[in-house]
Amino acid sequence: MINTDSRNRAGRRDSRPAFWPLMVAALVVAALFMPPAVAAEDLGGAPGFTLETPGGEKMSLGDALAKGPVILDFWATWCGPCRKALPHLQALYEAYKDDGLTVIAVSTDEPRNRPKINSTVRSLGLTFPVLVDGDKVVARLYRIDSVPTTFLISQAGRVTAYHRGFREGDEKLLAREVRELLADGQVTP
Amino acid sequence: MNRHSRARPGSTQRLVAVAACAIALAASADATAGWPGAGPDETGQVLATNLLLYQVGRDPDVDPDTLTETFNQFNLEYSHGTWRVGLRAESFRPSRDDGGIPITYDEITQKYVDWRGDGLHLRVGNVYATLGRGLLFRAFELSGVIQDAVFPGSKYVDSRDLAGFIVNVDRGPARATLLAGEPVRFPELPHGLEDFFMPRRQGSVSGGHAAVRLHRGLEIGAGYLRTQMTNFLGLEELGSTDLTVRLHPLIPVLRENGAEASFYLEYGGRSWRPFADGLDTDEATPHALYTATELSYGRWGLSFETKEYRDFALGVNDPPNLVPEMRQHLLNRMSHFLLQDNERGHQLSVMGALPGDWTAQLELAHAMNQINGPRDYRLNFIGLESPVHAATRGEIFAATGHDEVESIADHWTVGGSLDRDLGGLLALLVSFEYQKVKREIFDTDVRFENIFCSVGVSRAGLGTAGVLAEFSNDPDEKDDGLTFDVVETEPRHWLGAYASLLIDTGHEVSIFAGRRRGGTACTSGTCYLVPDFNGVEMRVSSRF
Repeated sequence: MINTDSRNRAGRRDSRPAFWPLMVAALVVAALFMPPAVAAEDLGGAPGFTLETPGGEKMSLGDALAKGPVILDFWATWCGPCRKALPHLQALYEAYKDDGLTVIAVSTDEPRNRPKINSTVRSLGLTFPVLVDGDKVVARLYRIDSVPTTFLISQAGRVTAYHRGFREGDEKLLAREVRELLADGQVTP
Repeated sequence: MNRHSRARPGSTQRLVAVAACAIALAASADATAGWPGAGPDETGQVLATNLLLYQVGRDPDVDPDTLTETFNQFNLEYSHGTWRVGLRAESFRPSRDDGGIPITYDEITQKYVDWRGDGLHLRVGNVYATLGRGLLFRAFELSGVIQDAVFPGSKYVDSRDLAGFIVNVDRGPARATLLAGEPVRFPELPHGLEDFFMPRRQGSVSGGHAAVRLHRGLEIGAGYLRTQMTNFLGLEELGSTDLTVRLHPLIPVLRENGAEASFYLEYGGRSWRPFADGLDTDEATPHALYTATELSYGRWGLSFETKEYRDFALGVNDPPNLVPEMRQHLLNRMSHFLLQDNERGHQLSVMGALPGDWTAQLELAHAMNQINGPRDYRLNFIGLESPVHAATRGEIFAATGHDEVESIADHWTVGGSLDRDLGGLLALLVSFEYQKVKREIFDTDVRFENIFCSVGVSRAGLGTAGVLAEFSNDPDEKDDGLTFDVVETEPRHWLGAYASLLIDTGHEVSIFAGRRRGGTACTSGTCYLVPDFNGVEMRVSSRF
């Protein structure tokens, strides 16, 4: 016997609580009209670490902080939003590197994807340091549960901003936070 | 009385104790608790994170569909100088047990003590490590991915850690890793059922890996793993060797022209005698061989990887897969599970920049298994992305392939996405994918189509909201597993709405309402099965 009605599924669909769509709609409205949840604040000390570039050169967070503030970005080659965010970080790096800003992109790729790191970096034209965290040791230190996740770290080693995920326009907020941090005069030449 | 029949009193007490400890630690720590600092003069700091998932509804093919489920994962870490101590508590509370099988649990699933000094790292408790590129051993977790156990229905985070210790030494040109402990033998078995079915952990492993850099362009390494399983595998010894050659430090003309070339090889064998056996790749010899060649010049990069596995399923902490993990929705579902008993394959990946800052990507992947004869998997992909700094950004792609393990004789997929800057931190996100598939079963061809589309709006610093829709007339998808006497023939569709909101720096809420299609999903190099979902779910991610 063939039933094209699929009534069981329809019956189950009707049993859904009706107030949930309203909650979703309320969240949408809230997301569009609430002010951005951006805060320049002291979110604690940034854990120190040393990692290698794909070419085998070692680099530490301390090396970068000696020059000025750091944008620390956790990404992966298979992550679409990461690919969108990285060129914006490159633009920030080019705009503020003379002011001491360093961008460090930490790849959390598993060993399987490691050979793709260089290709991705080359194709996106990234010139800032890219480090490999294959065992996610540093990602665990920073409690990363999704990529991309981006931290802004003052030269004193304090986390002053944190972005989970990437949405178009996040780069503008990050640029504002970088400018505020640099304007605070925390950079030691 | 079975200890899983309800939330275990002992576990609840442990959770209360954990909460009390958290409050005590928080009270005694630096008022600016957040990400623990590593400086020697750093005062103690506490970092707590929490992941809560609440669902109403469930897989529509499994009664009861009005089930409510709450999964919670709480991580707590206290750090002082170079020391860290932490734990993870996980809880799963459904509104009822699954067919009489008690599935409620409250457990402390991980705990650790960690110390880092100059070039030395020690960790005792739940540890993670990859030896070489993972042929011998890979302890990892899919952080943030809450998996659904198929039977009995439960939820858990897939963590394939090692309960034991690890020592990492990194001094000058040499580095070494030593580890020992109890591995996760059945990662698909959710927490809380260890005593009811079988333990998630079984047996023991010990071993390590050491590597030395002889020159900037040359590094050699060797690994050893001893596994003692309580099943037919018994005691086994495995060995590996690896070689890294980087040509650009050795050949100045490459370096001067901005070109790079490198080669990596790793060989692993069972009961391997390196000097007597060599890199034996005979069909009858249990072994694994992996190579990776990378070339890059200007804004172009190429990688070519090969793999060969023969009778190398170790039973725990499997090696990484080797097919492209595609970020496109429909292609991500068409991935391939590594079969270590018999698989050979390769993957070519090319990425580069075109005039006008467009970027191109080419992926060619092939895997061959022997399962009652040869079974072929292929994926060919080409994609083009517009410059990211334009007000309107686009991406188009096309892919073809087949997967004889899944009886997919042929498939081709096209799609694209569009991001439009609407001003005022607002952006419009649209994506569309179309797939045509031919499945062959007993010389019968079945043809069907899959369609995926999404439309959303995002606002930087605030969140995203949108609608997801999926359509399929796949005969395997149309029939309702609950109506045994009825064969549904209408095409199926899945429609859902989602929204995420950043409450503040530390809290994000996301909601999904509607139907979500199940199937294969791949995250961070590991594939797993996701059941259909019909209902409402809320996820709250927090940092304290």
